[in-house]
Amino acid sequence: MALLQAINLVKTYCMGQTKVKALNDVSFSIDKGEFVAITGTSGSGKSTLMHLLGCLDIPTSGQYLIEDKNVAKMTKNELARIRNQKIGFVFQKFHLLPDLTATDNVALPGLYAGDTEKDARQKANSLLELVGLQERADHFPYQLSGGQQQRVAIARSLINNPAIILADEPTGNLDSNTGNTILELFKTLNTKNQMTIIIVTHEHEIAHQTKRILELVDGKIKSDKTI
Amino acid sequence: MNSYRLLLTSLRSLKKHKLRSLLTTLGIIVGIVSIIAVMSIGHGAKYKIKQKIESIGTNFIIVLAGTPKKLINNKGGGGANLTLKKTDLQAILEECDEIAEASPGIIKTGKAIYEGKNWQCMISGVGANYTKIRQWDLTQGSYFTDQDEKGSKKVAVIGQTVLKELFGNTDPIGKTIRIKKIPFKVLGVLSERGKTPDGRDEDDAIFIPYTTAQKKLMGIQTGNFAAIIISAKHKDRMDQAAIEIEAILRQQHKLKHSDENDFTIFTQDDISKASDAATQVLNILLFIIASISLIVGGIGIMNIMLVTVAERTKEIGIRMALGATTQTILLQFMLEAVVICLLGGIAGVILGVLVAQAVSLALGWPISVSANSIVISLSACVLIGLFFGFYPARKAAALNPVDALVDK
Repeated sequence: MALLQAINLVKTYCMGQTKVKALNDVSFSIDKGEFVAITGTSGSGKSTLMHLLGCLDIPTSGQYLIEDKNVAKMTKNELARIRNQKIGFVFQKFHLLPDLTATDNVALPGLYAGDTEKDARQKANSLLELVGLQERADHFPYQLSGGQQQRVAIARSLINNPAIILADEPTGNLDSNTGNTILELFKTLNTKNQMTIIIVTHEHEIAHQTKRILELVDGKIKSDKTI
Repeated sequence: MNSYRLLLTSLRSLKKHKLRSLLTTLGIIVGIVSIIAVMSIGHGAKYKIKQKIESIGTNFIIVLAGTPKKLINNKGGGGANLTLKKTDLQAILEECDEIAEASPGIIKTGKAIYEGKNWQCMISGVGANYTKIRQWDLTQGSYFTDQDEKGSKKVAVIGQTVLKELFGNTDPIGKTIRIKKIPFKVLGVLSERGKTPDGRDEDDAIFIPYTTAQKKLMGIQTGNFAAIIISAKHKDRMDQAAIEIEAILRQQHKLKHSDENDFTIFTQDDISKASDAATQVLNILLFIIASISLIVGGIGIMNIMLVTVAERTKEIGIRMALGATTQTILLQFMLEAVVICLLGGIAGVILGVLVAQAVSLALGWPISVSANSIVISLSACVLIGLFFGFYPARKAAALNPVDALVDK
């Protein structure tokens, strides 16, 4: 059974009078436990695809199924729930809330899910341990290096035990050494914890460290290679 | 996401922009200070007036001769309307169960002379029971008796102002003053009463037996008088007493159904109602000013909340990506507006109490800050926060997560 299914996804933007098709009839499916890279040059539609896969936006037409449920038809609050429960986001610019400590940042999606303060913090602390930051639990984002911030973000993406991790250029703001440790962390999560991971990247070296590469060109899938 | 967490979140964001938060709350603070100060000072003024009214006598009824219209034209109606008779007084005492005491009254201004000093004041001809009706004590000497009343004796009891003006430091008891060249022996001095709510000095009066006033001073042969001063038995049945007195007098004066009263009844209630109406107008006026400042404050909060929402678009996007629902975002920003209003309100209450205290010290009024005014103020703050916070919060909640997230 496919975990994610994109069926004839189309996303059109209106730029003044002209309509731009950012995604044009994209179909693919991803199974549980896969480690996939979505690549393409800027303007290829990979950001748009990531937004659709992350339920941050809805397609103009087509279907998008997560665990066989059609997301394209969902209300705003149902989408919020899917984002909270099924998807763990990791962003290029980390997107931690600057006023919260590492623990509180990690705990936040748990609180949105309805966890008690105590439960959420407990989970957050064990996840910080998992990413090797247990000693930085009380630090604020500005007190952490880029790599550390991204590890906090990964811990945050895991707190509600999501079906997929969706990482948008997760190493884009890091030097190559730090970037590699982050990638290693993803690999471990994939192999040890059978976590389904999708990385959106324009860098070939990073894409090639995953197990499958979907290449987008002009809003269409040009190739779908398993490595 | 529990509300405690949301509360912490809003407090944190207010703390982050301390100066901005302070400036934002200023409008609210000013509004609440004025509400609290106005309410407490109004309360104090009311208390002061009430005290004055009660000093007249809490169960005091006065019947004046003449229709209300004539009374206004005559300004108090001393000699012109002498339509109240001795029989009226007797009828009231006999037929009305609500009455404790009643005294006739004749009021005239006149000049009193003592050893070359003269003083223009109120000369009141009243009964021997007058001080009892008015619950008015003497500081020295004694009041005139029934015998003095019956015998039309030339005796007088003077008020504090008259004492000061005519006698200064001299002991007045037993001394003789002259009113219209007639000598009166001073029997006693009444305690200080101060001004009536309409500004008349109650201590600026000389009281003599009404019989003496009628015969010796004014040459009234009919035995009629201008007023009947009454004390009711029960403070809470004054209205009943007034109704009964009206019925008795109408019967006594043989008024037809269509005739209007040729007398006017005042109870203490009437006087308090009149002064209440005056303070009410003042209160409404001040309340409008306070409301305007609260509304202006609220608009200020809406303004700054819109700025906050625009500034924090990215944060909103991140929160949405992490699973915050529209309601959670709405609640977060609404709560922030309410918290800022409430903090302004609390600061306003504290400042308002201080202002009220300062006014109390300056004017010597008893000022009490009522729990009511605090509850009303803080509720007003919450309502303002909810009302003016709603639009910015809804704007935040309606953001599209992807647009919020990619916001530059």
